[in-house]
Amino acid sequence: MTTQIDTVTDRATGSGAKVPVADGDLGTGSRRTQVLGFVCLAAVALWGFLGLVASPPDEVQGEAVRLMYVHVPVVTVAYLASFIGALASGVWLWRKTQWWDLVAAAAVELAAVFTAATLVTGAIWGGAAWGTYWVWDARLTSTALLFLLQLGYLAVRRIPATSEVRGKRSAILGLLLVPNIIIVNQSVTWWRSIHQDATVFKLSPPNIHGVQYFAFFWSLITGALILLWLMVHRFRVGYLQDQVDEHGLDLAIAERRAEGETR
Amino acid sequence: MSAVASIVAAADVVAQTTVTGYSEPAPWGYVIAGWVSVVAIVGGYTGWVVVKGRKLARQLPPEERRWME
Repeated sequence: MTTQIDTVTDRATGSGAKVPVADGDLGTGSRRTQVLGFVCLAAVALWGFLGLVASPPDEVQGEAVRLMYVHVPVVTVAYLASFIGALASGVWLWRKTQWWDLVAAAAVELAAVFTAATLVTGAIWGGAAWGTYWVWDARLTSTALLFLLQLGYLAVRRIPATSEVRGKRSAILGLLLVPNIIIVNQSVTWWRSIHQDATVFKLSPPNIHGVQYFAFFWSLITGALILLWLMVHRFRVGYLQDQVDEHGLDLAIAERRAEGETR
Repeated sequence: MSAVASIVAAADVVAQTTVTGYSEPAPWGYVIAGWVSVVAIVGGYTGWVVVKGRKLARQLPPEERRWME
């Protein structure tokens, strides 16, 4: 078996020489995340089997109940990521460290991806259950607003600014996610809604049992594992991006100084 | 929402003809469209994160990646 070799510019010595690096070392992965990745793949395989094959059709919804095993975990991950993003934003305002800024950015970006998936799967399930893909219902509209807020957060982070200014702007927006999540979550009880109430997370006994219940909880566990894996990798991508930007600035300053000395 | 309707219609055709052979295709069309859209969105994003991480890592010396220690 041969090992692929790539090269990186040797900035540590400032020589600009190409230094060989094993291909397997590249990227944001580590031994632990590789193990977690394999666990995620196994969990996804079981999730697919339980949701599409093992789970029986529902008495009311028939085969369309299988959409619950994708829609609910995706929503839950979107809420969880939004909450982590808001929490990290709050801690950043207190500690003002790069670590919390990167955690918040990674979490909110993930929240936006999973909220987009929520809107798509919700529309599809709406088509199957209600006969329409979209209505201006409290739950659907508040979820769309949550998605717009997340996109706004990501747009604000792209505005050129110092890390301090960028951190403050995005942290304030990140904190606004909390009341929005509460509104989305409680919208079905606060207003008349076409959307159904909670199926499992409520005070009275859950409406599903047996294999459906197990498949439902397994889908939540799988969603949490995927969120963890993606959070770690997205955080590391953000960290690498900051390092590259910093190195690029250092190199540009060094080049300008060298130009000045030769004149 | 016409894009969603198109996805469901396409998945319906697949469900009718090749995947399940189910005689009432409508629910399976929605089910397949739902699962495929989640796999596409999350899988696509995951691929982007991995590729972006590899590209950035190539621009830095290995000691910048502290998680490799």
